[in-house]
Amino acid sequence: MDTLGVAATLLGQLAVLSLVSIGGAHAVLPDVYRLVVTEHGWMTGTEFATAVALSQAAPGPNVLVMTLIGQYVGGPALGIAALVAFCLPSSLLAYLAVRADLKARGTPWLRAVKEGLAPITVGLVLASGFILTTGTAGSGTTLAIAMVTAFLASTTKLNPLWFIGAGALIGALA
Amino acid sequence: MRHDGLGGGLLQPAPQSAPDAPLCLGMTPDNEHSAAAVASPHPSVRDIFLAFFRVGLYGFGGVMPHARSVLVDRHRWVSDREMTDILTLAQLLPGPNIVNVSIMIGVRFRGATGAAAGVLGLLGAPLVIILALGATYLEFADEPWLKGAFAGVGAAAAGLIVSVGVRLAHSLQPRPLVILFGAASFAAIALAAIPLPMVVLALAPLGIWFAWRAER
Repeated sequence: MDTLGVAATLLGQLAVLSLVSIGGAHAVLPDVYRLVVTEHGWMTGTEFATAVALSQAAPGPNVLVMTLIGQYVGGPALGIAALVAFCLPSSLLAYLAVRADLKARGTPWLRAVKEGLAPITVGLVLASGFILTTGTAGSGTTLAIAMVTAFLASTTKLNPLWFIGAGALIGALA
Repeated sequence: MRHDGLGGGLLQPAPQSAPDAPLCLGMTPDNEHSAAAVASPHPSVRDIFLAFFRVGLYGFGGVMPHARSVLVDRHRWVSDREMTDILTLAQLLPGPNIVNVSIMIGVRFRGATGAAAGVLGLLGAPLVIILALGATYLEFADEPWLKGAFAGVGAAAAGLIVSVGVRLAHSLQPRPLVILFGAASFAAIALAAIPLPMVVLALAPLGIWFAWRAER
């Protein structure tokens, strides 16, 4: 695939995913992973997970992971385009929703949407964690890092940066 | 997630007192104070840009708490209760929640221009930082002595996302249908490798329909 084809494939997919990204950027990671790692091999699973880690360690929203993935696949311009492709469709929807909902009608309906979507969102985020964990589990060490992090981050209030720092240290020494 | 304060008054001025204002994401408890303090603010496009610029540059490990502290406590553009309403809608809509919040706040005060200012303020500086970080990563990604560190960092990120899911799961009521829909969306993506658009288009209407029936 030539550069333009790669860019079009990635951006097109991100734009579609934008419209179904209930639960935000985390929920779409499995599909992006499948596209850039499994199907096309533009990144390895570890590189993908590292991009996720960098986006969590950097200031700003986690959605910037799309920029890192685009940048890795096709340079900084594709990185910026990837962020726009993922944010623009959902942003237009949010804009229209606010415009249409200025009177904020239909409380029971909105409540049903919220109640109905919540468990689906949880399943999507857990699936994301599962895909990333299996994708990075090249060795017993990385699998252990992922599982211990999952446990401690679920049960304590430690800042996520501690886990990323510890992961780097243990990974480098192992 | 809490139930109250969903529809009514999403974009209307806050009631003078909001005794039952739900606290979302464990934020500041002084909602009475905040709700009473909103006296029809008129932020300019520049104000909106700068407020979200600040929100974007905070946010190690989650931007949303900072959004609340900047918009509710610092600027008092919205009351605590309105902020919860905005957050609820932002979470229901597709897209990154905080981007949706910046659009809703921007539209509310300055229309489409305000929305653009909010998003650009929010994402501009972090975008530059992440591009620099990414360039540095690409520079050193092939260094053998760093490979292990990057693998460890990636594994930690995977575990962190699992923990986000676990925490979200704890916020749900463990009813049979809730468990069923959670398990179904997990299995469809993680085990059956079904594309997300198909999963959402199949499960979301069903989930909403069941929730709607349970309401009545």
